[in-house]
Amino acid sequence: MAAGRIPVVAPHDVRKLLSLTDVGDEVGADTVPLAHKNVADGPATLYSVRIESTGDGSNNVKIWVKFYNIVDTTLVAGDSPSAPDLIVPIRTEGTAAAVKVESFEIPEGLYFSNGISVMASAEDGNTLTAGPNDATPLDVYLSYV
Amino acid sequence: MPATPRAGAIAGATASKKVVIPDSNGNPRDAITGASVAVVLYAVEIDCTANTGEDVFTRFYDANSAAVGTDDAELLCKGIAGKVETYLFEKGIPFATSISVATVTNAGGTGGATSPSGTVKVTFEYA
Repeated sequence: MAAGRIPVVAPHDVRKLLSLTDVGDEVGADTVPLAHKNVADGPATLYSVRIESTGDGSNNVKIWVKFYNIVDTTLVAGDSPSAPDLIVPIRTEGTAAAVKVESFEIPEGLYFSNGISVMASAEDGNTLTAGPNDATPLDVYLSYV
Repeated sequence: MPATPRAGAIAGATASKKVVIPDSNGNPRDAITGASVAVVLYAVEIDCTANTGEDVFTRFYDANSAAVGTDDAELLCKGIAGKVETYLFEKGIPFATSISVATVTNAGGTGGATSPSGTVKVTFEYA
């Protein structure tokens, strides 16, 4: 593909910040994924995501952020929905001063027929048995309609 | 990939690869290099215009080859039946070993190895 313009995704109606933070003892420290948040409680089309790792990431080289086509208001950290529609890794090692950022865009949009839920895990694939350590909070910004 | 990029190019990408998953192929995987070469992935296009029967899921493995249905994917992107879906990774996603890719109809990044019912073209840019 020849060099071209910088891709731009038009602004959308909703831009939401999720703070996925392991709250330590409340969710079992490092043994479970970060807090599982419902983003959209109904059909939604996802256009862009920005993931920031603001912690020191001392025990995690990478974290995988997983997006599920589900809505479940009872979801909590430790639940294991097995089949995400989208998985994106982010490198988190380093110091707090070196915030790691991954961002991506989906120009045509990715439709979630049920809704969007997000979970962060220290493991790739579908596995959710381990979470990032306490020092690795994530901020996840999503643009969707 | 169309001659005119649908969504523009990402700075840093120096090469592209197209993987065509033919109709109901029993072995839905392919690799960029077949050798250990670290790469950074910048863009993915999943063309399902000839696959209208079902959505698909393209799994990217950080490996020279992959056991589809068993190995864990590093990156998972969804393709929509009858449409073209594009993913643009501004910072790039590093693969330390290489990239192997599989496109299946099974959601998720691990289990399932069912090939699409129609032809799916997956193109990705990397450096």
